[in-house]
Amino acid sequence: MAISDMTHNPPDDRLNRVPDFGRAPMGSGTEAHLAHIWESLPGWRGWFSTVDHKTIGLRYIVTAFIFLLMGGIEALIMRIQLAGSNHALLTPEQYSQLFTMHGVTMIFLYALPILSGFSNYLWPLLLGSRDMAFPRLNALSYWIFLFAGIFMYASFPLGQAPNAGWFNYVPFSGPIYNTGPNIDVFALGMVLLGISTTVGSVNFVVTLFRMRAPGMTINRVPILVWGTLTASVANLLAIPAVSLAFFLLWLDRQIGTHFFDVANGGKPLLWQHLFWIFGHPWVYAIVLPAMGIVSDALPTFCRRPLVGYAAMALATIATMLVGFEVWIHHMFATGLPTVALSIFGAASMVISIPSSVAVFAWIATIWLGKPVFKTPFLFFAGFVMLFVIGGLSGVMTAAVSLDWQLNETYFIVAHLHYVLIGINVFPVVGGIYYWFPKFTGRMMDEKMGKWSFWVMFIGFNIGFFPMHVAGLLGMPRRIYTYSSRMGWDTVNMIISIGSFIFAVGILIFLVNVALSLKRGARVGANPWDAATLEWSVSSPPPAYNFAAIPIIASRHPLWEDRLDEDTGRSSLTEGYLLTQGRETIGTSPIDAKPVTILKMPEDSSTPFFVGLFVSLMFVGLLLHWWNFAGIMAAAGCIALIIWMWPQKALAQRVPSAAHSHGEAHD
Amino acid sequence: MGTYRTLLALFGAPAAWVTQMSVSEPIAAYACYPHLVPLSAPLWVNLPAILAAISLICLLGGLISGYVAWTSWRRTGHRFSGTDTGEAVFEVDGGQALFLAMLGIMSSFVFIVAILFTGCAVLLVSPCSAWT
Repeated sequence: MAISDMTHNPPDDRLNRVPDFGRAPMGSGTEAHLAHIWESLPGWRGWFSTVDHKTIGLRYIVTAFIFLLMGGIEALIMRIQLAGSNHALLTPEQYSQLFTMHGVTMIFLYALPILSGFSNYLWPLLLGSRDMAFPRLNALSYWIFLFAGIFMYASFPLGQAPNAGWFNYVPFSGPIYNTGPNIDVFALGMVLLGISTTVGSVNFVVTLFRMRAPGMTINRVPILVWGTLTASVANLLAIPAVSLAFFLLWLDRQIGTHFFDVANGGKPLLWQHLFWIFGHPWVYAIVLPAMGIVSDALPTFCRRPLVGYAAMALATIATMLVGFEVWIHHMFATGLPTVALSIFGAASMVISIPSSVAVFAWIATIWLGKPVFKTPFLFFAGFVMLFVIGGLSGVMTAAVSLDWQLNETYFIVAHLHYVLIGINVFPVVGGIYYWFPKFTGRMMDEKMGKWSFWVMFIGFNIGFFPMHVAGLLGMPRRIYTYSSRMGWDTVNMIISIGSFIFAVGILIFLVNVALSLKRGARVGANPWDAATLEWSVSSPPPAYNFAAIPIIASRHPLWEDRLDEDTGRSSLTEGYLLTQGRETIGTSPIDAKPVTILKMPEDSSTPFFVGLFVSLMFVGLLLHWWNFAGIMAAAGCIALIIWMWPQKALAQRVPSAAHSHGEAHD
Repeated sequence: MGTYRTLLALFGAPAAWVTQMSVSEPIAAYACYPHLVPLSAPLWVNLPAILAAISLICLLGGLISGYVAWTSWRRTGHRFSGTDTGEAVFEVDGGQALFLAMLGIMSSFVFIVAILFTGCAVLLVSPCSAWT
């Protein structure tokens, strides 16, 4: 039995339909009809109700970047405080809230959401589809993310922000040592954010296995798709652990349970296990899609395909799988028995194998290609270097005995920033430079782009490399100030200067974005001469993405003539037209054979209202307004019923002609 | 290539490694720290032998997965040695089957190495002692 056969449902004759196959050039009647079908309403009603993946993707990117700027400003304030010894800009409590919100913002509100933004925008374009599998779920995912971010920041101006670090260890975050609402805000906010991440992940997984263009077999999908897929599967398994942990903590704090209360038989280590069972896979979830950005975009500037596609796909999956069994390396100093530590130390070192495969694939692609030193290339090449530095310090801390020396020092801060900024921020900024023409139809300024890269790259290394030294000098993490007798003044001053240089680089990037939005040179469909499918449509893409669903014959549909790989030729302008309402083609998971005509839902405000009511329910729980919380829960259910109300028009059709095409070939 | 063969080739070795980790870790931890006080020697004298046996069984599972992946790769390679040139709207040339077989081989290799690493980790330190 072939894998694709498993997906074939018995066709329902009443729903058989022969889809039109042909062309719909820009300006034709069919194209105009498609535009009418897929475009959202103008004005505020359309703004709230749109389910267009491109709009949602850009909202994700912009919102997450705003959170990045907020987290960055928090970091700069901390760096002013730490620039010299005995500074008194911040009180200890203010410093605790700042470093906690900095971590929460960067890790939860920036790092994954920005990648969700890229994937939301790009996936249907990369896969040859007209939208994500569940467009309304996509909108819900964004709205809940936005509301969760606002929820977690709402207490900040009142001086009651989360204050126990992003990992929120008990018993410090428990009701005895942390009596304010700070931790409750964090706990409920994380459960709320978990809903957004979960529904978003479901959407990505189903989209990959159901929405690829005919002919885009599983060995032809871009690496970004592999990265986001593995991250999404990981999220589905990891998010429940952290949501449960925060929910149990909230119960301890508000209802009087004792899950983490030592005096009553609770276990603080249970928190650490639940948190890091989530936390370590999360680290990979926020770097693997970014690595996918580089793997897909770097070849464009090397003028050749990525070296080792299969190895890179495997490296992506293997990194995530290994990432699920290494969480105890965050707990080496908790007193666990030595054999248990040794097992997890060894497993942590295994990650260096798939990571090295990825690094050598990128280096080989650059080495064997003809690099074009445009701004995105600089960011991607810089990323490779930072990846190696961050990875090396990771292998060092996988050794238990060395980790005991480095644990809770600035060495760890250096490592995690090389990983998170090096492997996330640099690819993201490079990715924005790369896809900005697709997003907006305009190029970004190249000269300012190069300035932004070099200032960011130099500032980053001046700011974060000395943190290794500070750690080796014994400087602990999370201290709000230090004595001049410790000998840390010079290194901290260098770190602070570097941080501000890095911030200037980000500022140049933002100025470039603002100017290019208005004055950037207008571009056509494929200004970089890239290979992947998103560059086959106009910039910015039309609401329907593809007037004719393309037929794919290779991994590089736009480079087929050049590469001449003996795979046949993709059909990018002639394909399935599907114009009877919002429709796209559904294909089998492995072979990408057409199996159904998917009827896609119209725009709707219900995702916004479900998100709003659910968020208000969490506000009610936070403030102990139990009746209000109950009313909001009921309102959310009513909005869900309206959302889910069955419609005959959404019954899926079987494309009998397309089906027989595929079967005839078997 | 059959569905179950493909799944075994792709995920057999990872599953064996996950099993090794998930069984070895709690046994090793419980043997040295069963209740509220850590022990200087494991609850069971033959703890190293138990852990080694778990590693060997999981290694065997990984090797079986690797063997299945290797044979699938050879069979798939023979079956899809040429590109189909039919007149259908699009072509499915078997490249995806080759790709999955290749992923299976690489996946088995990486996770057999992981099982060996984890097995060695058990042998390198004495169970309940301080880190030496």
